[in-house]
Amino acid sequence: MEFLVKDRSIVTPGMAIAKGPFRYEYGVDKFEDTIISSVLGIVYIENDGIRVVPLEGKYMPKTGDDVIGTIVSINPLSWDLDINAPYLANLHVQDALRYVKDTSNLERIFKVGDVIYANIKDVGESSDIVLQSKERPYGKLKWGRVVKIHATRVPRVIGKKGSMIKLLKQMTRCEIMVGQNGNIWIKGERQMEDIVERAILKIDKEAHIPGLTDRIKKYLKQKYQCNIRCYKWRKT
Amino acid sequence: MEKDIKFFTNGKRIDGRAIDELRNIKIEVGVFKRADGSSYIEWGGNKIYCAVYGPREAYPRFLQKSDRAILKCRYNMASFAVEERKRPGPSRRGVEIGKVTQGALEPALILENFPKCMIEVNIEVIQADAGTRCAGITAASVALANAGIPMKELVPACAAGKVEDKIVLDLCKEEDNYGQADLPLALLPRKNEFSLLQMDGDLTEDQLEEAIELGKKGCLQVHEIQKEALKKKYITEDVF
Amino acid sequence: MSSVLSDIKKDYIISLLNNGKRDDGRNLNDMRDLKIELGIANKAEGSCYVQIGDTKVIAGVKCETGAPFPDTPNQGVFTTNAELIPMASPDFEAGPPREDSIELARIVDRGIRESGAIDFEKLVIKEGELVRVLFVDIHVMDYNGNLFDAAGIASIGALYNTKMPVLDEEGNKTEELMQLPMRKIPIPCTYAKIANSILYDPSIEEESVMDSRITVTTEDNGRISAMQKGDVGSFKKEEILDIVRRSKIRGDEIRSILKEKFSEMR
Repeated sequence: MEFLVKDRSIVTPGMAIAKGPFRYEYGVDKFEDTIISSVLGIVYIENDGIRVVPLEGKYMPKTGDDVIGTIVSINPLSWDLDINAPYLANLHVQDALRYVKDTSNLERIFKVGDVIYANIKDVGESSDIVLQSKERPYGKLKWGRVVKIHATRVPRVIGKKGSMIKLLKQMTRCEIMVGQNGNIWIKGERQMEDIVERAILKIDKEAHIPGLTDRIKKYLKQKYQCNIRCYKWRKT
Repeated sequence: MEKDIKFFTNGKRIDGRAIDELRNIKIEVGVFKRADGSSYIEWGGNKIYCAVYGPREAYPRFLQKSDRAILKCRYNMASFAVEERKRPGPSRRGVEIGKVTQGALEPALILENFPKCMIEVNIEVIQADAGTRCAGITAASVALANAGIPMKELVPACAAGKVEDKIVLDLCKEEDNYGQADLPLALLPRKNEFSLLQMDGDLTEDQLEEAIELGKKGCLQVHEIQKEALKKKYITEDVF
Repeated sequence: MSSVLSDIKKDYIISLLNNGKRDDGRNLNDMRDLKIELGIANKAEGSCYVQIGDTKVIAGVKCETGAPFPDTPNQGVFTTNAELIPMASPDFEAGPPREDSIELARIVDRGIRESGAIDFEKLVIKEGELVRVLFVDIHVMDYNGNLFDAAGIASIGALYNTKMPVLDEEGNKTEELMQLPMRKIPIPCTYAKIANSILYDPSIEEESVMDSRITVTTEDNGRISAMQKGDVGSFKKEEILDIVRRSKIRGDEIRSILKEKFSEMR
């Protein structure tokens, strides 16, 4: 058993990470007795497990994920959504709303260009993505704006136990909804939206560089010279 | 096509290189916004851009494969990339190079993750100076990694050839035009196999072996440059 | 599939414009960062790389000789060609030129030809028999809005960058190099109209929302050498005059940047 690279270093496809009987998770491949990276990413070594989190790439849909997508076409009884995945996702009219009276003209419900917050009900064997948006908070998003980032960096926007997203919400009083596919919806005061957007893009750009939370905190503080304590004080 | 050129002076080649020396190679990663992955390579006098789109649903639909993605490679040369203006648009040469490029890159990719999809590689030659296909493959492999496409390894490419009965690495324009043989190679470094192999000219069996060995050595050097370029992109990003 | 712009984004762009602001923080009359590099492709007689924001365009010039057109025996031949290669956008496809690329090439062509930027009579080698044939080829590398200006600036830059061999009376190449007989620097400026706002240098999002666009090409002396309205939609007379006035000022600014580049080159 031997490691050939340091924990959290950048690896390129084909690069040897370790030799020996490791449990390998994703982003890695085995060549003879060597574990090699199969993507451009950051390697994480934990106990006896090795995984590589990709730095780039499209969103790979998983059942249960919440996503934000844009309607791109209308079929007889369903809509097709672009969710930044390799495939279009499908939202059937029965899964869209709780009560649908009239299905003769779907355009009256959602039209091309509408932004939908939805949940992935199923990913079929041949990669058909089935969505549902029946219950709250799922459904059409109105107003606000959508920021697009790398899907692989979404966990950093959420942070450990939701710490990053909490920080952003608290300091800007914006409503934020995170799609696992890298689309993030923000609604609040326009200036605050601007600040959140820039902070999220900063997280996207610097996701792989340690000390992210502190940098973002500093950035937010700088941006409008008020800190969490100040906000809390105002609240009490 | 023989021409009176003195290929060697004091053991050095026309452009001053040693027999086993590559031209200068510079690779930049992520040069385009619209593409999912992109790269730019300067290899001697070659200037080549590469953009990757996908994976996305394959179109037209009959091309789709239910168990894996397909790879499409397009090689195009700007009309002003060569001495005599080339007619814009697709050419037979370009189609062929696209095909061998696909053959060189595909064995390294893990396409099973994306059934029914296609991955498109666009190679655009802005300035040509011998060895564009090797430079194109090298750049394309980097752009594919930049697009987050899973793969077994990067694919470096490099040509070897014969000039005045000597085996040399990475032919320059004069050597390519008036030399005796040209052998472009692409290497799968870990597997230690070649995924591009073309040859034109005249070589003995021994010379072929020597050329392949030398070409492999060149590919391994190119491989290091590819890895460095990819890492550099993420390490040097400004933090403030 | 990526060409659908979400309604939220559209509404956002329009509501910002109503307050005189733009998505990327620019004012209505601001241009994105302009970057010009001359002589980037040595095999071309002249070449130019232009970057406006994230839009990247390369133009190259090739010179050949050939017969003049019968109706203009005492003038050189000039052709502009644009390729919207699949590299530049997920929506572009390979193959014969489509409407968009033909329109692009023709607007650029007209701007240069009609301004008299090139002294075509000086391109004649033997009247009625042999003249210089100039090809300008425009390659769009990364499409993020406002191709017209990028392509126009790149083309004129490439023409000024051109160094071609001097020809003897028979049309044979000599060792000496010469520059093209250039007289003027025509600069195209493109404005988009969205709702009732007129904005300069539209980004790709703005282009997908815009009702209409207009490209005005101006020359050194403040003259207008070409104009083209594109897309559906219409302009008021006052709007057109205002755009022309703004194009002149903007054209002068870009011209001085180019002139600086040209003087560095020499």
